[in-house]
Amino acid sequence: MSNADRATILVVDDHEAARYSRSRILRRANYIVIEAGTGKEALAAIAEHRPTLVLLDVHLPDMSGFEVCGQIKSDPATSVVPVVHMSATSVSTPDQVRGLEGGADGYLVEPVSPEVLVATVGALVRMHRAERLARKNQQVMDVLVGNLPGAAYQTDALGGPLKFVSNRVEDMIGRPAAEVLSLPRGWLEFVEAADRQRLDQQLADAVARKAPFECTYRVRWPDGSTHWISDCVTPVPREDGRGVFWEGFATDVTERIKAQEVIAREQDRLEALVLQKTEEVRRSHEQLRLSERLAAIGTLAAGLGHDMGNLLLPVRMRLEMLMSMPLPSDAKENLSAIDISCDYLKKLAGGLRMLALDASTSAANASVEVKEWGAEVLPLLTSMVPRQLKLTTTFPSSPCWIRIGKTAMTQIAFNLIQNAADAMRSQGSGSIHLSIEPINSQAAELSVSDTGPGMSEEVRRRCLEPFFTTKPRGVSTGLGLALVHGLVRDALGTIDVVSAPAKGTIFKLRLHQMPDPRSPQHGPAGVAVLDIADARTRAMVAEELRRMSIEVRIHGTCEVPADAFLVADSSIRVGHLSSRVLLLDDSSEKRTGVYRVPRHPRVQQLRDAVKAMVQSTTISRASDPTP
Amino acid sequence: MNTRPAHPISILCVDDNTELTEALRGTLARLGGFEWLGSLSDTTTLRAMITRLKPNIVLLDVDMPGRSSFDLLSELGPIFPGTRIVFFSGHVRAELIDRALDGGAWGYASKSDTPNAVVQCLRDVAAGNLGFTPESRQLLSE
Repeated sequence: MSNADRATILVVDDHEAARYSRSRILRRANYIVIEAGTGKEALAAIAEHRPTLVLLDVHLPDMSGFEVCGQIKSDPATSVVPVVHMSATSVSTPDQVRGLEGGADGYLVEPVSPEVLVATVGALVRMHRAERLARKNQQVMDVLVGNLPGAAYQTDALGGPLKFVSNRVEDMIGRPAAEVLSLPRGWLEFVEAADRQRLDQQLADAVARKAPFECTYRVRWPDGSTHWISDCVTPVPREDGRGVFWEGFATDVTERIKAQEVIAREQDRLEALVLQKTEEVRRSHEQLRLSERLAAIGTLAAGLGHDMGNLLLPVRMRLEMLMSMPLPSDAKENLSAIDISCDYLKKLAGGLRMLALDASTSAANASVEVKEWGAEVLPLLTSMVPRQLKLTTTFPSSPCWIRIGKTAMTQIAFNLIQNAADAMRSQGSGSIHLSIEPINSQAAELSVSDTGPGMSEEVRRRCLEPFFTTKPRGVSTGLGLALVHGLVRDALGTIDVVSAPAKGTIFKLRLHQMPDPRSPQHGPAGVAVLDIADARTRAMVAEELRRMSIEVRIHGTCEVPADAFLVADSSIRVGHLSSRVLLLDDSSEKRTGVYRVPRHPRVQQLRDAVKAMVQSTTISRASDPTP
Repeated sequence: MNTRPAHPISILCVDDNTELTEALRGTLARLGGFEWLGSLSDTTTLRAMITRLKPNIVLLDVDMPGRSSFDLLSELGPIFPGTRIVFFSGHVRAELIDRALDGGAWGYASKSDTPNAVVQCLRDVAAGNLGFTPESRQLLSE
């Protein structure tokens, strides 16, 4: 046994021989012994050495043993030290009672046999040690309970007053532990009305079954806020075997519940998002399929138009041969009728091919004459209107050129009329009117009106959106009007939809007019003389010049006007050089006012050079003060 | 350019649609001024036929089975400067016409146009101009 584990005994006696004798006995029993002769010495030794036990003679010279014991027991630092009185003289029962009531833990009457002395001291030391351990454990427990993130509590009656609650209850309920302990139901006084019945039911169940219980409920804080509490409680059998008491632990789970709510909300939002995205993917798949189908229909239309054209040409050739023969007049009449049908079929084929072309690729300066266009596409437009509907048209009486490609114009009219026809498909009768009229010298209006059911405001507003349709899929792609919108926008025009339920629909397109590109107002823009050896290159140059309204003459066959354009394949043959020359000679030499292209130019090179030459001259001529 | 040449214009037609070539033969014969050298329904013997017949104009279908007509054009054009190759097709698109002209063709006739337009196109080419029909000319100006 090491010194640290050995108990220290203070032996207090003014009688030296007796003190020596007891000390010797105790030392032999392996105690550390310190000695004191007076009460004063005894108190000083206790303060200094903290003995495990004090063996105290009742009769001391300076004060009585009872007094010394009283002082030991009244000092909190020493009150736990066991004190054993010893006396040979004060042996009466009242003396013993007085000593024990004064706080002593034992009273030995002399003479005491060494065995009894050692046994008594041993028993008290063991008790003292057990007490100290228990106290230490209690301290550890107190620290642990105090540090728990919640309130530990004990109660004899579940749902009744608490007999213990840790200080952390204040963090959970907003009230100090003392207040909670004073309440008949502890913090259950503050449970929210909505949770009270449910909680009481569960408490009653737990009590009846003497079973652990777990519940989450809301409590109201003094500041009016609501907190969530998770409460777990377990029955503990009493030591005396009479029923149980309850030990519980409650924590504030407000943050956790809030987080759960947020998670649940986020989960809902994510699920909604997934659904939405899935729907979007499904829709774009459908749109992709529609676009593919549309492209396939376009290819089919083009193929059909192409084949019809190929078949019609030999038919018309034979027909013309027949018509040139001497035939009876009724036969000629029949031939004329066939010829008319062929003409109709030819236009239909042309219309089909035009529908399949990508209208948006036509050049910016493309233009179309309304009446000519009408004559060409009317068969196609008429052919797609159901029998019970009537298609009428109004075209301007004088030529009217619109700044839009022929294909684009056809696709616009086709889609608008088809849209009107679809809207009226279930009607017994109805009419569609296509009208193209100049508004002023700059603009023209193309309108398609119908006597159909009209559109709601919502449909009217959305009808130009891609893939928007009110018709069942399979009947409509929802792309027709969006295509129209795109083509009109490309032509820098505007589109207006006038419609109301039961009032029919009018699509009004405002497009740009332009001057007749075929008949320049001031006659030919000039004369060009060609001096080019290669016949095909000469033909190509002539073609480009004629398209620029330049009269073409061949060198050597005519006079060369002074202001003529000159196009030659060798500078040697160009007598005089002016700003009106285009050379095709592969030379890289730069000369002011001379346009150059390779000897065998590509079509586009030639086109650009001829245009540059003719237009630059026009500008310089226009700015020349002396004509 | 619209005046009829003193010599008939000799034509070799290359098209696998024999109904069309037969009708064209009849039409040219009826209108006069042409010499029909014959028609080929494939291009394997084209080079040999041009060498032998020396046609003024070869009317060449763009969609012939076998070799691409554009390849044939760039191969035969330089060898036979005296023979003018005119494309003949139901497919008429601006970029096809430009490609034909860059390859050395003298014209581009659309099968969707009238017989008269096709005949006029051939006469234009014989007279030293490029030859088009209304549909192909329209695409040039667009």
